[in-house]
Amino acid sequence: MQEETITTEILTKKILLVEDNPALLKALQMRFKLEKNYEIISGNNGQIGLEIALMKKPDIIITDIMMPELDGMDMVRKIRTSGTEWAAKVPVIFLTNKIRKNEAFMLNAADYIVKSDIDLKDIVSRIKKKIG
Amino acid sequence: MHKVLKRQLRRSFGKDFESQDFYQKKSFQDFIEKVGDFYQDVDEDRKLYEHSLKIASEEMQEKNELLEKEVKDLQKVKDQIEGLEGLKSAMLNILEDLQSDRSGMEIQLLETEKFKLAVENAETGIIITTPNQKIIYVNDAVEKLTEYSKKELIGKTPRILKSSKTSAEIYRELSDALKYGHAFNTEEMFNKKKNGEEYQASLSVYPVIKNGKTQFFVGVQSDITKRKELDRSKTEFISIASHQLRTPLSSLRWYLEMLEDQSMGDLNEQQKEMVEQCSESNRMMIKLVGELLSISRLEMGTFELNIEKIDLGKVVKSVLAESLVLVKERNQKITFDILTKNTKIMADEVHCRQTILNFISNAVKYTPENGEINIRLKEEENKIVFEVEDNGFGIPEKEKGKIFTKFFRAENATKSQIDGTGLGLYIVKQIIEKIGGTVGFDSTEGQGTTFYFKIPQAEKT
Repeated sequence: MQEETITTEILTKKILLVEDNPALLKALQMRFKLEKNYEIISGNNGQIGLEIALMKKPDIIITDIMMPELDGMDMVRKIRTSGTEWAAKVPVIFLTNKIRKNEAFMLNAADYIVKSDIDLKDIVSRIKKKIG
Repeated sequence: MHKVLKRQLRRSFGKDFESQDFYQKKSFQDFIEKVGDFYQDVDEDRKLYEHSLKIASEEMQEKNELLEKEVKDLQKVKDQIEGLEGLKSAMLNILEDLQSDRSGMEIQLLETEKFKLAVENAETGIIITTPNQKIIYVNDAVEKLTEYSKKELIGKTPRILKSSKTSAEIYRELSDALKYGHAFNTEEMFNKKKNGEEYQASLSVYPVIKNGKTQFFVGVQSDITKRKELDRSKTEFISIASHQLRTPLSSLRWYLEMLEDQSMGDLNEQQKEMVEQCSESNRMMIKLVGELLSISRLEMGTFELNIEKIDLGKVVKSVLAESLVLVKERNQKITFDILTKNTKIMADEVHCRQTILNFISNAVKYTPENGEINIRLKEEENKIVFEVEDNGFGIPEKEKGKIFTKFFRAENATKSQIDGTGLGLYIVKQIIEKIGGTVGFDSTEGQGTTFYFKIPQAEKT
């Protein structure tokens, strides 16, 4: 199991990043680290993401869709149906090149970002819109 | 005494010469007698001469008449000969004409033979039918292609080749074309061989019309199954390749972004310049890969749209905000007017943004510095019209028909060394038509261009 805790500060927002591509994951971690009040936890596939999510109950989940073991869509479906109040409400942002927007919003996604053509700063600002 | 002698004597010796002495002399009398005899002889000779002259002239005349007659006869013969000559040359002319007619006919026969051979041996299948679609001719290629013999096909209708794989729409278009005597071309026709095997055909059917009536239909077809498979695998290859390129390109973009905004530490001027160049190249590649992916999706039929109610006014505003940097760089003036209240349409937001961005960035690219760009949203017969007017190069008249074709770039654009792939407008057209709209433009070379798309307004709810 891959799990990393990057920063821990008081009043931090816990962000779960689920991305199977190491280069992309690292870039996202480095960029989020610049935001002082974010605590970043991450997993490199849907199965790990699901386990961390249920254990750590993050404030927001940013996830890719196409991943080994369990894809992002199924991971979110499992979280949503896991039965807690947190699981039903936690904001989820899909960060993907897949075109499955409708399916994502059926799972009450907070946002759907097309990965191929977006800057990191815009991803951060869209996350901030959801969790402040 | 001879009267001429008497006259001469009178003239010489006077009227009374007979009474003069010398006249009485015997010797003179003898002399006069002799002279008188001489005159007499002369007279007689003359008479004889005149007589013979008369006779001669009569003969001459006779002979002359004869000669004239002969000349006339000869003339007649000559005329006759000339007449014959004329006839001969006329005959020769006719003969010549006949000969040239004959060689003309031979040439014609050769021509007909040539066409026959050409059709017979063509690599593409050629079928000729009556106006009510009874097959009256098929060439060798049709036999090879369909595995039916000529005998089996003659008298049947081309429906014998019909396959259920062809869409109903294609058949409908074909039967409409036949009904109205129009030509019809398709590459989406599937036919069935005698053994049941199906092949994809490129088919071209056209009527042969004479005196306003369709005499017969000619159908030309060839098997393009292999080519289509190749096309498909090429498209799939592009799709996979572009997809695989996306992730590394995104990763480059994000790391370059962090370098560029110096959030990880300051860069010196040279480093900054280098990172900017990398970033610029990276963005161009991302754009190209995105376009290639869109095209492969469009061609594979896997292009997905997420149709929802969107406010086009808001979308344009947000795209415009992103484009202002470009406009400022080129010192251009840009205006945006919304001339209608209802700017809501049923469309795919991501792809609408893409088309709007394409129109605006084209206008910026192809308008000189300090130029002017006017953007408008207006209403026209329950449709929302989005238009971008520029005062740039304009599109050359002869290239207007090709603007929306794949990989096309206008001559004046390539000459000015403006970057572009020739894919943008092709994709725009496909997307807008998929949404249910239309695209177009008005342009005058050297004055400017207005590109527009029209999409039906969403129902007011």
